[in-house]
Amino acid sequence: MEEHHVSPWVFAFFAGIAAVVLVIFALLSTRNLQKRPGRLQNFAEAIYEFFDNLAVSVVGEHGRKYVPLAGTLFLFILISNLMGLIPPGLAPTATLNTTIPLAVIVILYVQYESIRARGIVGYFKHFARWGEVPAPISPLLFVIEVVSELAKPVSLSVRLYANMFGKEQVALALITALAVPIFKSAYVPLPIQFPVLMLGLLVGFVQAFVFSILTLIYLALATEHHDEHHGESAHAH
Amino acid sequence: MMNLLLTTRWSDLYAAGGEGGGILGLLGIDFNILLIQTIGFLVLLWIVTKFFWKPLGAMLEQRRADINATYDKIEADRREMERLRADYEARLNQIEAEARERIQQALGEAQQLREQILADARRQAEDIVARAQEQAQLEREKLLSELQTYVADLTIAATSRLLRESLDDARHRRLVSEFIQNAEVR
Amino acid sequence: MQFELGTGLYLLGLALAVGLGLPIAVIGAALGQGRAAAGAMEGMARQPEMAGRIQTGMIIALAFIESLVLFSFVIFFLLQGRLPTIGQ
Repeated sequence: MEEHHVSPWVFAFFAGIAAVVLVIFALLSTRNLQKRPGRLQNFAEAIYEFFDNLAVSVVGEHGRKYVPLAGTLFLFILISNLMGLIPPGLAPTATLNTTIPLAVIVILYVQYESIRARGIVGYFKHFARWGEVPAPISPLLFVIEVVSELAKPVSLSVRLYANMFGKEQVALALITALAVPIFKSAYVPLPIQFPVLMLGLLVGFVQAFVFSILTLIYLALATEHHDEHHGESAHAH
Repeated sequence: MMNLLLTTRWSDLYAAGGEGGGILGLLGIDFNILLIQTIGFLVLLWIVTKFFWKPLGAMLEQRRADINATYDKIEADRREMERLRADYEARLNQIEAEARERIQQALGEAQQLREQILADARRQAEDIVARAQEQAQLEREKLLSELQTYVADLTIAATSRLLRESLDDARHRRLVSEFIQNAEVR
Repeated sequence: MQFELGTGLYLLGLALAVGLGLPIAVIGAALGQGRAAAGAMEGMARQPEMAGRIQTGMIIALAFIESLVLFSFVIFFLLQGRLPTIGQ
């Protein structure tokens, strides 16, 4: 584990940089909003539309209000992931110190939305699938559902962390195992790890997308009762 | 060492395994950083929502409304234009019909006039012919009477000459009356 | 180097777990991902107009499968830290 000499605070520092980059982009692209958009505004609008469509297709019509959370998660994670590909940078998402807070925020928000949609009693009833299954099974399901709910943040954070960390480890292994013995230097100009970085580009996008779409799916599951009701009333019209 | 992976106590996770730390230590988890990152992301979310997502959403909504309004206006304009066109067409048709009717009327009048003129002409011609005949009649009668007079004169002259030569009264009388009779027949 | 029997068995198990755990997980996940991708492709071929939604669903499914491998990857790193170097 000698490669773990980097202080965790360095990752936090890079996370801060990613946040600053995102804020600068946000301010620049909306500094001067016009009806006839410029290039940057067009780009920002495309991002917005993408998440708007995604939220509506995953959650339904009331999913519009989740656009800021899902979109910010995506942009922040994407910038973080891509920072790991620029040589002096490190991906802040390659540590659980960054991904756990994100996942915890998401899952707490999901619980909040679930309670808001169903009420506090409905919230616990949902865990027990009360009324959907025979009553004796409900306590068992309650336990299972709680565990699976607790597994959600774990899987969210570990998935992101392990993807980014794994990519960096593989790149590092290629450098230490090939570049150092052959060229006697870790700083050879020949980028042996280049294919891994290309993969990292793809993984960076996909993982950021997966994180935000899973957020939307969890939100959809948490508020689906509300949605069903809505759908029925819409159908009755 | 085995119990490292099986232990469930939070403090054990952090403390076990010597200076390397427990699982959390191995994974490099630091609660201070977790807290900072949580707060940091919430602040980031707040800023980006306020300055990025909200204005963009409002802008797009406004544009959508604008586009809708524009399309509605275009539709209304088109309908108005269509209405005007139909109006004009109807009016044109009406004008054309009127013109045709007027021409028809004029034609009828002309026909009537022609008939009238023709009738007049015929009547005049008949008049002329009748007057001519009448005149001819008069002329003949005049001529006849002139002729009678002349014949009578002539007869008288002849008679008187005859009488001067040799004639008895009876024969004379008979001759004159015979003559006059003939002249009257003619 | 002299080991007690218990320590030897422990190291043996550890070595096997470190060496084989991740590959086994990868084999399973690769098969699963292959099936998922095949199903998705078939779906897209059948209904090209649904390609977008199918692709999204496929990516999510792949991410779920992949996360299992990544769990074992994390475990692999934890166990790897427990392996003694030759000097020890």
